[in-house]
Amino acid sequence: MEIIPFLIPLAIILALFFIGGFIWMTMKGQYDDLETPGHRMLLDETQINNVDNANQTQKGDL
Amino acid sequence: MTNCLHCDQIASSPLYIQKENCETGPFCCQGCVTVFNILKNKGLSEYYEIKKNVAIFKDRAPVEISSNQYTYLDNSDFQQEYSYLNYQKERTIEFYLEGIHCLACLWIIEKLPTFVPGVSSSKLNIGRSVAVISISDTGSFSLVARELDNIGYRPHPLKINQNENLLKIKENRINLLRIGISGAAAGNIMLYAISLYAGAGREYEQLFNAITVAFALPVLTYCAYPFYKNSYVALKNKSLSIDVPISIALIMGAVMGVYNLFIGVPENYFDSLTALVFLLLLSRYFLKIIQEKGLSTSDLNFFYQGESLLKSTSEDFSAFIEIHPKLISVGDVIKIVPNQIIPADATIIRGQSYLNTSLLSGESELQKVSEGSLVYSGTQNVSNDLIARVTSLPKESRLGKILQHIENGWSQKSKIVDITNVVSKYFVLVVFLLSLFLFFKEFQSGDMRSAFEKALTLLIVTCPCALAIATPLTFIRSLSKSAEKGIVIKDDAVIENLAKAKVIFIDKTGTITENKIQICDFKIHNDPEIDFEYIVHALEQHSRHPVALSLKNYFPLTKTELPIVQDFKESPGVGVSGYINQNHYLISQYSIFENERLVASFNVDTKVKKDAFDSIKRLKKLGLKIQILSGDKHEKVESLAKTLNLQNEEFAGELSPEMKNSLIKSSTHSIMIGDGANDALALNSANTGIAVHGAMDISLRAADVYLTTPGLEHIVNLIVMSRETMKVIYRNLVLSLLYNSLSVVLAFTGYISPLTAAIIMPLSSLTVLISSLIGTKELRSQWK
Amino acid sequence: MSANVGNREGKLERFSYDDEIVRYFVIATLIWGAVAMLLGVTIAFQLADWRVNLGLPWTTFGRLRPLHTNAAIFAFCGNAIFAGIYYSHQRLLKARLFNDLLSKVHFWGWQLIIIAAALTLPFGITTGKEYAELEWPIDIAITLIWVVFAVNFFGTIIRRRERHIYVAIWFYIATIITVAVLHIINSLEIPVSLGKSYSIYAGVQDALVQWWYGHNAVAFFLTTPFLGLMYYFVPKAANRPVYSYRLSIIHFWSLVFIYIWAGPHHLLYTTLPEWAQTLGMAFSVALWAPSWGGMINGLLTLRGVWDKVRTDPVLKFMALALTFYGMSTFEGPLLSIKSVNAIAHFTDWIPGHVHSGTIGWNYLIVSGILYFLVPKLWNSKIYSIALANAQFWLATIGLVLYIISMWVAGITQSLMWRAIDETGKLVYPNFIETVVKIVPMYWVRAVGGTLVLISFLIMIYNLYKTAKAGVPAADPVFEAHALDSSSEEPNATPHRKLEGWPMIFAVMSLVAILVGSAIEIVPAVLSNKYIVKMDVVKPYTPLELLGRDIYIREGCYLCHSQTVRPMSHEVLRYGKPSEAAEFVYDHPFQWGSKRTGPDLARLGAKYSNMWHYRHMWDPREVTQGSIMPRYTWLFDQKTQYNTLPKKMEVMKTLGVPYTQAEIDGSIAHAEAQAITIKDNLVETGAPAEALNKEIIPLIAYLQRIGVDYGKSEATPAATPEATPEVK
Repeated sequence: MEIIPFLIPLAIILALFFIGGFIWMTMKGQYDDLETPGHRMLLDETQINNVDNANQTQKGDL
Repeated sequence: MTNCLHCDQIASSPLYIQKENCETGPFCCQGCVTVFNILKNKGLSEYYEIKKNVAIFKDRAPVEISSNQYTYLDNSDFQQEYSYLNYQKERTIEFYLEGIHCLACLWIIEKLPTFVPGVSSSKLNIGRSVAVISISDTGSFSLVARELDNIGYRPHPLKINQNENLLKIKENRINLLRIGISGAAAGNIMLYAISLYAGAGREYEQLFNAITVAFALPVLTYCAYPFYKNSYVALKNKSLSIDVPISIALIMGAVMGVYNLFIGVPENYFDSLTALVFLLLLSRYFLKIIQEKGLSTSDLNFFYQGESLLKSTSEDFSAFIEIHPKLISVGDVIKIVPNQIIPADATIIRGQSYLNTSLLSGESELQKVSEGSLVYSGTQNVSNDLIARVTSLPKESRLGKILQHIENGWSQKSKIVDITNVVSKYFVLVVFLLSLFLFFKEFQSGDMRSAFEKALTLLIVTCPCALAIATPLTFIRSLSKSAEKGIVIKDDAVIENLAKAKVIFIDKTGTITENKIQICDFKIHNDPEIDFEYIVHALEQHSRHPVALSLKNYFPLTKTELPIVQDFKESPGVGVSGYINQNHYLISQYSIFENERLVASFNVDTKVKKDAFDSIKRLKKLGLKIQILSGDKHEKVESLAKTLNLQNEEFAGELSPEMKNSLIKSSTHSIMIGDGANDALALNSANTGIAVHGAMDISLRAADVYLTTPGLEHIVNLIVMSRETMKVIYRNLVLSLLYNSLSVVLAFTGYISPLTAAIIMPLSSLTVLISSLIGTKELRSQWK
Repeated sequence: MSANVGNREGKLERFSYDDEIVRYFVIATLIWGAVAMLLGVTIAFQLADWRVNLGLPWTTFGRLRPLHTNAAIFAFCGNAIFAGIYYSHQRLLKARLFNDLLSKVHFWGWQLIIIAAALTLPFGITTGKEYAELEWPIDIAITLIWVVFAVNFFGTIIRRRERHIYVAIWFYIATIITVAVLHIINSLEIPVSLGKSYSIYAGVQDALVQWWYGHNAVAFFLTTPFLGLMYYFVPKAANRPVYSYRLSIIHFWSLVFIYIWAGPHHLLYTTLPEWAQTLGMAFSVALWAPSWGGMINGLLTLRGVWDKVRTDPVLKFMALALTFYGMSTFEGPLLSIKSVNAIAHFTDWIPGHVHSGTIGWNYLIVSGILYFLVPKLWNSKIYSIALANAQFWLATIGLVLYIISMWVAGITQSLMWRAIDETGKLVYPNFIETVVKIVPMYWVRAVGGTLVLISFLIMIYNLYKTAKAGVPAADPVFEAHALDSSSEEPNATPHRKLEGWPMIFAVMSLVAILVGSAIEIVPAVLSNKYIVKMDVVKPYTPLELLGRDIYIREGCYLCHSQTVRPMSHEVLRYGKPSEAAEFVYDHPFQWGSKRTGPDLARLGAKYSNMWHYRHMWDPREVTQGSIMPRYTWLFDQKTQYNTLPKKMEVMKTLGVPYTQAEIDGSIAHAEAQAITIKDNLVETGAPAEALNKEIIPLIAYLQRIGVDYGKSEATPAATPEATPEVK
C-alpha cells in the first residue's frame, strides 16, 4: 500500500492545522462564554433606513 | 390572564396607557409603565418588537424602581476595590443585573453604548446575568447604574479584582485546551492502534509506533499535569489521593512505551493511557460545571448588604453624599430614609419615627423613637427621616455579632462524604501494595513485560474514581435540581440531616399564616357613594404601615391618575386624614370616616396559608412529630391548632426567642421552619433550619435552606427528596465497591489488558454518573 | 439611533451587507437544481427502459449519469452553499463581504465551470473517477475559483465587528480548507491532451485516494456546510437560540476529526489491505455519534415552536431535513459494517442511501433556506403557503418511493446473487435473471424521482412569484461598533489589522505545504519501490489502451464493476478473486461502485469476439431482457491511432514499463492487432469495413481484462511481499 507514506503526512498536517485552530480559538477566549453567542446571533443590527435621513428619529414615535 | 407587556409577569390587575386613540398595555405595575415610557422617548421601542415571539428563559420579579442614586459608584476608593482596567485602559465594572430574562434584555443591555453617554462597551453574559461595562474617561458609573435601574435592571457591582478574575478565565481556557489536545491525540493514536490491531503488517509498525509516541508525549506531559500536581500535593502532606495511582500508571506507561520504541518491540500502551487522560479530564470538567451551576443560583451574598448610605458632610446635617455601607466609620452622621434597614447601631440626633423591630424582637408592633434613643442595626425605619450618629460599625453591632456566631457554624462537611474519602484513601493504599506484589510475583515467574502489563492494568482498573465521585455527584444533582425549583440548599450536609429528621418545629407567623395582614369582614355603613379605591390609594400613597398595605391590596389600583390630597396629616397611632375635593376623610386602625361620619369598618387578621392543612397531614404520614411555636398570644395559637386538628401538646404560644432556642436544643434530629429574625437563633440551633419565602434577611443567613417560592408543600417535597437522595447514594456506593472489588480480581488473574482496563474504568464512573442522574422513581416524579 | 440621544461613544462604523451576490446565487441554485433533477429523472427512466437512451452518444446513461452527479453536487448544492454562506457570514460577523469584485468573480467563475462541465461530460470528456469526472483544465479552474472564495471568506473574518466566531462559521472554514485539500490531492493527473489526462495513482492507491475524496466530497461538501447553514438558519427561522451551544462546539470538533478518515468503507472486501478496511469501518461507525449530535441539537432548537412548524413552511422543511439527516447518517455507519456491506455493496441499496441524504437532507434544507431567504432578499411575503405544502408533500412521497424501491431492489439483487443450492451451485447463475426481477423497482424509483422534480418546479414557480411581488430595496445601512473597542480579553492585540495577518498567513502556508508535499512526495510514490508486483501481469498493448479509453469515455464503470470479492458466490459466478497486483497499470482504476450489469473483472477471453461485436450492437440480441443501451456509434467512429504515442509516453512517466521501442512502434502494433481481431470477426460473419472502427479496440480491451492473472495458475503467494491470503 504505497500511498500510505503519502497520505499519513497529509493527514497529520491537516490534524495539526485543526489542533492549531482549536488552540487559537481557546486562547483567544472564543470559548469563555458558551451561552450568550447562541442568543446574540438572533439579534440583527438595528437598521438605519438609508444614509441620507439617518439622523431623523429612526422609527418616529411609536 | 394576560402577561405584562414589559416584564412578562402575569398582570393580575392590568394597567393601560390611554394616548390619544391607541391604548398600549397591559402592564402589571406602575414600574413597568414608567420603563415603557423611558424606552419610548429614548427611541428604543424596538425592544418590544424583539420580545414579541421570543422564548422567555427565566422568570423574573416585576419591575421596582428604587430611588437609589448610585453616586457611591463614582468615589475613588470604591472603584479601587470594585473596578479594573480592561486591556484598552478603560475603567470596567462587572454588574450583576436583576431581571435579565429574555433576548430583548440582551439587546438593550448591549445597546447601552448607543444611548448612555460615556459608555464605550457593554457585553452581557446571559447565563450569569453579568454585564461587563467599561466607560471612557468622560463617562461615569453612577449615570450608567441609574440608567440601568430606570429601565428595570437593578445593578449590583461585583467585587472582581482583576487578577483573580483573569486567573479564573485563564484556568478555564487551559482546562479546555488540555481536554482538546488529549482528545485529538487519543483519537489520532486510536487511528494507528486500530490499524496495528487489524494487522497492518511489519513495514508500517515502526512508522505507526513513532507517530503514536509523537502524539502521546504532549498528552502524558502537558495534559496530565493536573494529576501529577494533585498527587504531588497529596504525597507532600503524607496522604494518598486517587490521582496517585493514575499518575504512577501514566509515568510507568510512558517510560515503557518509549523504551519499547527504542528496542523495536511494537507493544505500547499509549492508546489506553491517552484515552484514560482524555476521559478523566472530561468527567472532571463536567463535574465542575454541574457543581458551579448547582451553587451559583444560590449566590446569596447579593441580597444582604444594603446598597448605599447617606453620610452628612456639613455641620448642620443638610448636605449628604452617598457612600457604600462598607466604608462608614464610628462617629459618622448618617441619614436614615423611610423603609431603609438601619445598617449600624446609632443614636438618633434629630427627627422621630417608628421602627419595625420584628427583625430582632419578633413582635409586630412598631417602636416609637425620638432624639437620644439608641437604635440597633437590622431594624427598619418605617415613617420618616432620622439623622443619627453611628456608635458601632456594622460588624460589631448587635446584629453583626449574631450573624458572626451563625456564620462560623455554617458549613460542616457531611459525614457520608468524609467516610467515602477515608475509604477511598485506604483503598488506594491497598491497590498500590497489591500492584507492587503482583509486579514482583510475575517478575519471578514470567518475563518483565507481562509483569509490567498486569501491574499497569491493576493500577488503572482499580482506581476508585467511581467511589470518589459517587457521593458528591448525587448531592450536587439534588442541590442543583432543588435550586432550579427555588429551594436553595447551602451544602450537602443539610440533605443528610433532613433525611434523618424526626421532629419538626414550625413558627406560626409567616410560615403557617400569611405574614401580611389581611382585611376581613369589611362592612360599609349608611351606604355613602364613595369610590373607596380612590380614597384609600390617595391617602395611603406613601405610608408603609401594615394596615395601609393591606388596604391597598384589598382595593387593587386600576387607574393611573390619583386625586390630589389637601393638608394631609399622618398621626402615628391614630391614622391618616386629609381633604379630597372638599370632604374630609380619616382612615384609622379599624374604620374609615367621611366628614366624621362612619362609612366603613373592618378588622384585621392573618389568614392561614392554603396548603398548610394537607402539608401538616403529609408530614405526619412521613412519621415526623409536629411542634408549632409562636410568640403570639396563647388563644390565637390554640384556635389555629384546632383548625389543623393538632393535639394540645403539639403547639405552644407566647415563646420568647430564647425559650424557643432552649426547646429546640433539648430535642435531636430537629428541623425548624421560620421566617422572622426572632427565629434566627432557633433556625441556627436546630439540626436543619428552613427559612420560608418572605423571611427577613437575617433568618436567610441563619438557615441552611431558603425557600424562594411560597408554599409549605415544598418542605414536604424537600424531606422526601433528601431521603431518596440518601437511597441513591447508598446504591452508588454499593455499585462502585462491587465494581472495584470485581476489577481487582480480574486484574489479578490477568484477564483484562491495559486497553480494556482504560475503557472499563471510565465506564464505572459513567454508570455511577447515570445512576445518580436517573435518581429514583420518587425523585423523578418530583423533578418533572 | 435618534439624533437627540446625544453623542455616541466608541468608533461607530456604518456599513451595508452585499445581498446582490446572494440573489445571484439563489437564482443559480434554482436553475441548476432543475437541470440536475431533470437529468436525474432522465437517467432513472433510462434504467427502467433502455429505449429512453435514444441511441445517441451524448444522451446515453454512461455520459448523463456523471453530468447528473456533478450538477447535483457542485452546481445545485454548490450554489446553495455559497448563497447561504454569503448571507449568514456577513450577518454573523456584522461586516460586508471582503471585496465585491471577488464575489462577482467567484459567482461568474463558478457558473462558467458548470457550463464547461455541461459541454464536456456528455461528449465523453471525463477522467473516469466518480464525482471527480471533470477533466484537468476544469479542475484547475475549480481550484482558482475556490481560492477566490477562500480569500473573500477569510477577508471578511478579518474585518469582522463581532468578537465571537459563531460555530456556523467554523463549519464553513472546515469546508473550505478540507475541500481544497481533497480536490487538489484527488485531481493530480498528467494531461495527455486538452480533453484527456491520466490519474497519477494506479490501481489500489487510486481506489483509496478516490474514495477518500469521494466520501469526503459527501462529508465536506454536502454535510458540514449545510450543518453550518442549519446552525444559522434554524435558530433564525424559529427565533430560538440553538438548543445547546456547547453541544454544537463538541459536534463540530468531533465531526471534523472523524469524517476525514471514513473513506475506506467504500472499499470493503476489495483488494485494499485488511487493516485499512477495518480502520475505515471503525471510524465510519464512530461517525454516527457526532452526526446524531448535530441532528438532536437542531431538532431540539425547535422546542417551544412546534406549533409554528405545522404552519410555517421554512420550519417544516428544516425539521424534516434534520430527520432525514439523522436517518441517512444512521444508515451510513450501518452500511459500513463489514457484514452489512457484504450484502449492500454494489447493489441498488447504495443509491437509496445516497438519495436519502441528498434529497432528504440537502434538497429539503435548501428549500427551507430559500423560503427563508427569498422573502427577505426581495422584501416580500411567500406567494402561496399552499404551494409550499404541495411541494413539501410531493417531495416527501417521491423520496420515500425512491428509498423503498431501492431497498427492495438492493436486497433482491444481493440475495439472488449469493443464492447457492445444496449441491454448491448458483441458484441464479445467469446475471440477467436478477436484472429482469428488479426492473419494476426502477420504474417506481423513476416515478418517485419525477415527483421530486415536479415539487422542485413548484418551488421555482412559488419563489418566482414571491420575488416578482417584492421590490428589492437598496442594500440597508447598519451601524455597529468597530471590534477592538468592544473586545474584553486582556491579551488580545490592540490592532485588528495585526491580528488579521496570522489568519491569512496560516491558510496560505497550509495550501503551500500541501501543494509542496504533493509535488515532492508523489515522485517518491511513483518510484515503484514499494509497489507490489506480479510478473505474470503485463501492461496493456497499445490497442487495448485505446479500448480502455473508450471504456472510460462511455462510462461503463457506472454500471459494471471490475473487482471480484473474496466470497464463495462471487468466485463461483466470476472466477478467481481480484489481486492488488492486477491493477498496477490501471491509471485510473476502474473498480466501479455499482453492479447494474455483471462484474467484468474476469471478462477476458470469456466470450468470442463476435459475441462482444453483436452485444455492443444490440445487447438484447445476445442476452434476452438486457437493459443495456445500444452503442451503435462505436461501429462508425474511427479509431484515433494518432493519439497513441503521446498516451504511452504519459503512461511511461506514470511508471508503466513501456520501452521507447514499444512507444515508437505503438501505432503499427495496434493496427496489426486490429487486423487479427477483424479477421476473426469476418470469419464469424462481421462486415470487413469494421477494421478501423472503435469497436475493435474496445473488443481488444474487453478480451484482456483480468486475463493475465485469471488464466495463469500463479497463486498470490508467488509474489515476493506477502499480500493478504485469500480467505
